[in-house]
Amino acid sequence: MFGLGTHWEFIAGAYAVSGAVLIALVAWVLSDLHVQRRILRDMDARGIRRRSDGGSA
Amino acid sequence: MPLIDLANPTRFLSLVDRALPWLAGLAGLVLAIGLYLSIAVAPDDYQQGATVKIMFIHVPSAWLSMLCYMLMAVSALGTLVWRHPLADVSAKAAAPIGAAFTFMCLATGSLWGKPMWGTWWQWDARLTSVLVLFIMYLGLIALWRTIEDPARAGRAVAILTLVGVVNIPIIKFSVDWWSTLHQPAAVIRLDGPTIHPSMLWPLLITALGFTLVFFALHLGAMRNEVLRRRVRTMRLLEAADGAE
Repeated sequence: MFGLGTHWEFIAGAYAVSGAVLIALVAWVLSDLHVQRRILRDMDARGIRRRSDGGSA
Repeated sequence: MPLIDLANPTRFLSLVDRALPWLAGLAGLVLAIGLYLSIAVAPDDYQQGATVKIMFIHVPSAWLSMLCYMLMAVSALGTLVWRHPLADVSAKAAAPIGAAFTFMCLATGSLWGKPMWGTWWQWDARLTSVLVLFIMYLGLIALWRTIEDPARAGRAVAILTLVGVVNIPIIKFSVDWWSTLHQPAAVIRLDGPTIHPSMLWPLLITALGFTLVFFALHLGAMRNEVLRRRVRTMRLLEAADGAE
């Protein structure tokens, strides 16, 4: 396959595992960012702000 | 910008918001070039054949598994000695990324070992010490989750991290100190690399791409951790205000 010789499944497997790990890391960072920002927006909507931002909390 | 300026989380978040898109773009570009050179341009090895292409991802992930731990060790010093507010944020953000790169190193090594050595795994000093590193990452992540107060957790993790640093030279020199199935170092050697430039340059460019990806992920995870602590602080203050 693609000139990868007799061990192509090991080569493809290694690249697939690495790609999956990198995609999982990116997804983890982006989803966590989304969650934290949503919580902060919800708190802001309820009037809960840091004292340095002029809020009550 | 002096390091102490980054002690202000708001300033740090502003810096990350501006720098991260550029860093992520550069990381993707360099990694794509490195992978293209590794897969399409670099020649097959005269003994391993095309299986050598696994090395282009195995070696960078191995380097990063150790680099990440050393970054955590410096962060541990930042927590215990300099008490920099972002030091334990850095350590906490790095641990899952380090665990992921160590897993990648073990998995790709195993996928290379089966066709080349005839076995998925061998309890030799190099493989075992890297497995220990992976377990240490999992232990540090577990310790973070065990202690609720981030400051207390940060100090406990920092001490354990510094104890675990002893494993890094063991990993590096295991192939020299003991008779191992794993081959000795071929790039980072006192007498220079033993790899032909036609393979060395794709490997180094891929490693640079992996390193940029690592730092982009680390900065992103640090930003998330700062936001998480902000949420925690606001919830505590809200609860305190409600109790008054």
